[in-house]
Amino acid sequence: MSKPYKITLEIKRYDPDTNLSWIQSYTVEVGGILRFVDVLRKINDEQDPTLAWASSCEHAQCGSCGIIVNGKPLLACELLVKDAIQQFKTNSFKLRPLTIAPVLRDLVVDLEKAYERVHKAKPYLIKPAPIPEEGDEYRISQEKLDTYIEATQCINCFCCATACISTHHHFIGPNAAMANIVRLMDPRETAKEERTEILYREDGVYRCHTSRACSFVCPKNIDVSHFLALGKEGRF
Amino acid sequence: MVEKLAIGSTLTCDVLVIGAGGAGLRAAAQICEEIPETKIIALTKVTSPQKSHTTTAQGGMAAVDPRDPEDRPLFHMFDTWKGSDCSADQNVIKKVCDTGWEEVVWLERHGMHFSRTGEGRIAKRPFGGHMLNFGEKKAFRACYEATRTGKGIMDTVWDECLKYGVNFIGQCVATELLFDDNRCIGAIIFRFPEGEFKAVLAKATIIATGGKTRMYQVSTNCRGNTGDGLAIALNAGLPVMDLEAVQFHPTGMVGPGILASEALRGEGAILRNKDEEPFMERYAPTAKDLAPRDLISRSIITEIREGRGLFNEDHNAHHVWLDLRHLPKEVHEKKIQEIESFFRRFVGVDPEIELCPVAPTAHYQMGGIPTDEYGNVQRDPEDIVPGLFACGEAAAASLHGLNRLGTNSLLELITMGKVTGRKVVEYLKDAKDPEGLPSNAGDITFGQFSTYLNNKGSEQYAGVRHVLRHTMMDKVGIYRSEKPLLEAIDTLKELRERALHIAVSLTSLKANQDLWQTWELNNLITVSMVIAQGALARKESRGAHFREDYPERSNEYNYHTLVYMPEFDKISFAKRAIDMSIFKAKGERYELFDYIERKY
Amino acid sequence: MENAIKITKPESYFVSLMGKIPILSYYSHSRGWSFLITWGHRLSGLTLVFYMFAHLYTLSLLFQPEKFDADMQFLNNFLFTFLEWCVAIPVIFHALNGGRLILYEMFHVRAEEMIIRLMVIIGIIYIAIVGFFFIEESRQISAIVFWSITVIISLVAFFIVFFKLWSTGNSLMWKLQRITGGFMFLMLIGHMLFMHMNYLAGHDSKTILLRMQSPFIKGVDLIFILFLLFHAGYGMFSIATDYLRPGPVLKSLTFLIIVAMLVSAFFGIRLVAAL
Ligand SMILES: Cc1cc2nc3c(=O)[nH]c(=O)nc-3n(C[C@H](O)[C@H](O)[C@H](O)COP(=O)(O)OP(=O)(O)OC[C@H]3O[C@@H](n4cnc5c(N)ncnc54)[C@H](O)[C@@H]3O)c2cc1C
Ligand code: HEM
Ligand code: HEM
Ligand code: SF4
Ligand code: F3S
Ligand code: FES
Repeated sequence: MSKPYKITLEIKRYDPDTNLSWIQSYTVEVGGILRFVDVLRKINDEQDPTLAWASSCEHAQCGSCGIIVNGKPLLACELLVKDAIQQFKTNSFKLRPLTIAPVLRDLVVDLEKAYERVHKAKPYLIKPAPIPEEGDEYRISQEKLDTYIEATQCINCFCCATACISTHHHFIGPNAAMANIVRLMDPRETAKEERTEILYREDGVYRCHTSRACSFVCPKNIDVSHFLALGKEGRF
Repeated sequence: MVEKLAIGSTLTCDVLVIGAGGAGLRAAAQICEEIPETKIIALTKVTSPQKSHTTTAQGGMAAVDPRDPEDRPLFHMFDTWKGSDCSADQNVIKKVCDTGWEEVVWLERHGMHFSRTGEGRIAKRPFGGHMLNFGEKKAFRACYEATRTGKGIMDTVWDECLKYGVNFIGQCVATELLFDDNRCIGAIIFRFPEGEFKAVLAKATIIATGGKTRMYQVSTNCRGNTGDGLAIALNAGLPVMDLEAVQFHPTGMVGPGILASEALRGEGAILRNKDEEPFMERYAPTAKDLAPRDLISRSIITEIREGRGLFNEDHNAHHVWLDLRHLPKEVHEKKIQEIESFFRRFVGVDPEIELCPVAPTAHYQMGGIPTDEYGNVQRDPEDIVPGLFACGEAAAASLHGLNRLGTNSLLELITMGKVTGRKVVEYLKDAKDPEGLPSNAGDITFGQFSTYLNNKGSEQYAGVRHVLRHTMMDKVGIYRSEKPLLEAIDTLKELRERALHIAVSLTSLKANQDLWQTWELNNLITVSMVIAQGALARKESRGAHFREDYPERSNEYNYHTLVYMPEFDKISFAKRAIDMSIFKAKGERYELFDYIERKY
Repeated sequence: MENAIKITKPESYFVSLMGKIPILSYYSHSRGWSFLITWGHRLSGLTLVFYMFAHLYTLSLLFQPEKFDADMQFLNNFLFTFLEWCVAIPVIFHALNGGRLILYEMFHVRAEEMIIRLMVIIGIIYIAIVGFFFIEESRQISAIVFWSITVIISLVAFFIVFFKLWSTGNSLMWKLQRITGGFMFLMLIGHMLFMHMNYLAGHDSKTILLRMQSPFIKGVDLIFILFLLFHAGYGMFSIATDYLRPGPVLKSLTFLIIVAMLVSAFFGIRLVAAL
C-alpha cells in the first residue's frame, strides 16, 4: 500500500546511572502511516531495547508522549512518518526530550515534576456556587460555556510550556496559568479572589510575553495565548 | 549478577488506592469528603492520574434524569440486564441505575464541564442499547462532555483528590499485595524513576487498576493496561471472575486500533470486503451495518478468515474497509468530522475520497476481581477479604455480566467508586494500623525482578509479546472453539517459559523500560491464561463470549466463572450465582428480569 | 498549527523568502512566526537600549557645542547616515509591535493577521519616509506645533492604556511598562521623524540648543527620557528574569540595571535642565 520510507532518527540519549548524555542515530525503514511511537517501538524491537520513551493512550488524548522533533514540541503518538517528512521537509529527525522537566532516561522526562505547576494553579473548583435546589444541576448557558470550553481540552502535555519563550524559572507556564483562568471563567467558581491572587502573583500570567508559541504547538489546537490575554485583561 | 533487591523504604497511610483512574479516585474523593483527614496514597503507572485511561472515553455516561418525563431507572435496569445477556447481578444493576443521576450531579458540582442544552441543563444523547419503555424507542440517557466525557470525569475526580491533598505517587506499579493473615495491609510498589521498591502499609487497600486488553494485537486500550491488578490478585491466591468476556468493538482503525465510533455507521457508512462487497447484507439482511457490535465483529472476522479481507503491511494487520465516500458533504463536515479527523491523523487516509481500513479491536473487559455490591473483594462467593476493595474496570461486581452497554462503564466507575469509598470509611472506623511488614514481604516481587535482571537467556521481550498478541487475537478472540483454545493454552505455557528467560537489556533499576515492560508482559500472559481457560470452560455463547462449537446460550451456565491461579497454570474453578433480586422482588414487570431472549 | 498565523498567497511568497534563512525557517516551523516576532521585539528593544546609551553620550557633548558639531561632522558620511537610517527599523518595529501587544493583551484585539499586515505596511512606509527625509531635507516645521500635537495624542494614548490597565491586578511595574509604552508610541515615531525634518534639526548644536531653551520642549524631553528609562530598565529586568533563577545573580543584575538607569536619568535630566 504505502511505500516505505527510510528515515533517520538522531536521538538524544541520557543514562541516569553514568550521568552521560550522547546523540545516537538510528536508521529505520518504515511505512508512512506509522506514528512516531510505532517507530520508537520498532527501534526497541529490532535495534535497541534500551532506548526509553514515554507514551500511554497513543492517540493524542493523554499527553504522555511529548518530545521535541526538529525543535518542535509535539505528541509522538500523533505524528505520522509521512506527515513528519512533509512538515519538516526532511527524512532525518532530531528527537529530544521535553525541556520542562528533568530527564529520567533518553526521551522520558519526569512530568510529575512539571505537574507541580498545574497543582499550584488549583485546577479544581475552590468554592462552588450554591445550586438551585438539591439534586439539580447548576445552569450554564451554552454561550457562556463556549467562551471557555476550548481551554478545558488541555491534556497537560506541556508542549506549550516547552515551546514558550518565558517558561524557564519564573513563569508558572501557559497550561497551568490557563487552568486557573478556566476556573475564573467558570460561573460555578466563587473563590474569585483567591484565583486572581494566583493569576497575578510573581509567577503569574504577566510573565507571558504573548509569543504565542503555546497556541502554535498545542496539539489540541487551543488558542492558549488568547486565554492568557483574557487573564491579563481581567476579563473572565 | 545484580545486587540483592530490597525494600528501600516503607510508607504508611490509611488508604492505599492502587490505580488512580476514574474509579479509584472517585472512591478516594468519597473518603476525603467523609473524613477529610484520612491519609490516602494513590498510585498510578502514568505521570499524573489525569493521564489514566479513563481520560480517553468519549461517548458518554448513562444516567436517568429524574426530571425526564419519559425515562425511568427501571428501563435502564432492563436495558442493562438484557444487554448483559442475562448474566449481570441485579442487586448491582439496581443500585447503579437508581443512583446514576446523583453521580452526574456530583460530577457537575465538582466542576465537570458537561455539554448543555438551550436552558443550560446537562445535555443527553442516545446510545446503543439504551431504550425507553423496555425496548420501545431510543432513550436520551447518555450525559456527555462533547467527545471527551472520560476526560471530564477524570479531571473532576483528580481535581477533587488534589483539593483534599491526596498523595499521588506516579510512575509506579504495585507488584504484590501484603497480607496479615487474611487481611490485606497494603502493597509493594516499584517506582520507575529511581528504580526503588517501597512498601506501603495501609489500613485499607483499593484495587482500581482499570482495563486489561493489551494482550490483543489490536486494542483500544492504553500501553499500560496490562492486567497488573488482576495478576497481583491472582498471585495472592484470590480469584478473578468472568474474564472470558472480552468486548470487541467492530471498527477499530487499523494499526493503532483507535476507536471509530458507531456514529459513522449510524450516518450510513458501509463495511466492505476486499471485493468492495457490502458484506453485512449477507450476515444481517435487515439490520445490515447497524447490527449489534458482537455480530458485526464476528462477521468481519469471518470475511477475513475466508480470504475476503485485506492486509496492511505497515501495521502487519488484516482488515476490511469502512466506506464513507458516498456520504453527503454536510455529513462529512458537520456530523462526523471529529472522528474522520482521527482517520486523517492516524491512518493517513481521507475518508471523503478513500476507503478506511478497520478491524475489530479489543475494547473492554467485563470481568475482573469479584466484589460484592459494596466493593468488598471476595475470596469466594461467601467470604470477603478484610481490608481489600476493588472497583472500576478491574473489578466485577457485576454490572455488565458478560456484555456491557456503551456508556454504562463510566457510570459504573463513578457509582461503584463512591459505594466502595463509603464502605472503606465504614471499615476504617475500627480498623487497626497494620503491625508492620509481613516476613515474606517482597518475596514474589523480588523473585520476579531478579529473574529478569539476572537472566542471560536469549529471549527478547518483543518476540514473546508478538506471539502473545497474535495468539490471543486469532485463537481467543472473537470466535472461540475448543481446538484453538487448547492450542492457545499450550502456546501460553510456552510463552510463559520463554518470558522467564527474557534477558533485559539494561541491568539498572533506574527508569528501565525494558525491565518494566517485561514485568508487564508476565502479567499479560497470566491474565491471558485465565481468559483462555475461562473461555474453554464456558461451553456456550453468551454476550461477548462466542463459542463456534456451542453457538447458543445455555441455562446450565447461568453463573459467573471464578478462576483461581495462585501459580501459573495451577487453575481451579468456582461458580458464583447470578443475583436475581429484581426478579425475585416481584415488582413492576419483574418477568422481564428473568432469563429472557436477547434480541434487538 | 491551527493557531499559526494565516497568510495569503502573495504574502506566502515573501514568507517563504524569509524562510530561506535557516534560523527563521527553523523557528517558524517549530514555534511559529509570533515567536520570532517576540524575539524581534526583544532584540529591537535591546538595540534601542544600546542606542539610547550612545545617544545620551553624544547629547552630553552639547555642553561643548564645538565638540558636538565636530563629532556630528565626523559622523556625517554615507556609512553613518545609513546606520542612522537603519535605527528607524528597530524603532518602528518595536513601536508598532509594542502597540500590537498592548492591543492583544489588554484590548482583546485578536485580528493578528490584519495587524501584522498593517505593521508591515506602516513600517515600510515609515522607513521610506525617514529615508526620503535624509535625502530631501529642506522642510521647516515649528517644533512647538509639532510637539504639541504629538504630546496631546500621546497623552490620550497614555490615558487610554492607563484606565484599561490600572484596575487589573497585574504587577505594578508591568503595568507601568505598558503605560509608558503607550505614551512613547507616537513620541518615538515622531522624535525620529522630527530630527530628520532637516539636517540641522537633529545634528546642529545651535539649532538644538536654541530649541531646547523652550521650557515646553524641555518638559517634553524630560517626560520622554524618564518614561523611556523606566521602560528600558524594566524591559531588561524582564528579560533577565526569564533566564535567571531567583538568586544573587539576578539580584546583582537588577541592581546594575537600576544603577545604570539612575545614572542615565541624572545625565539626561542635567542635560535638559542645564542647557
Ligand atoms: C477508547 C475507549 C472509549 C471508551 N468510551 C467509553 C464511553 O464512552 N462510555 C463508557 O461508559 N465507557 C467507555 N470506555 C470504557 C471506560 O473508559 C473504562 O472502562 C474506564 O475508563 C476504566 O476506568 P478505571 O478507573 O477502572 O481504570 P483506568 O482509568 O484505566 O485507571 C487505571 C489506573 O490504574 C493504574 N494502574 C494500573 N496498573 C497499576 C499497577 N500495577 N500499579 C499501580 N497503578 C496501576 C493506571 O495507571 C491508571 O491510573 C471506553 C474505553 C476506551 C478504551
Ligand atoms: C515606541 C514605543 C514603545 C512601545 C509601544 C513599547 C512597548 C513595549 C511593550 C508592550 C513591551 C513588553 C513586551 C513584553 O513584555 O513581551 C516592551 C518591552 C521592551 N521594550 Fe519597549 N516599547 C516602546 C519603546 C521602547 C524603547 C524606545 C526601548 C528602548 C530604549 C524599549 C525597550 C524595551 C525592552 C528592552 C523591552 C523588553 C523586551 C522583552 O521583554 O523581551 N521600548 N516594549
Ligand atoms: C537617529 C535619529 C535620532 C536623532 C537625530 C536624535 C536626536 C536627538 C536630539 C537632537 C535630541 C535633543 C533633544 C531635543 O532636541 O528635543 C534628542 C533627545 C532625545 N532622544 Fe533622540 N534622536 C534620535 C533617535 C532617538 C532614539 C531612537 C531614541 C530612543 C531610544 C532617542 C531618545 C532620545 C531621548 C530620550 C532624548 C531626550 C534626552 C534628554 O532629555 O536628556 N532618540 N534626540
Ligand atoms: S495547552 Fe495544549 S500544548 Fe499546552 S499542555 Fe495543554 S494541550 Fe498541551
Ligand atoms: S508561549 Fe509563552 S510567552 Fe505567552 S503566549 Fe504562550 S505563554
Ligand atoms: S500517548 Fe497519550 S497523547 Fe500520546
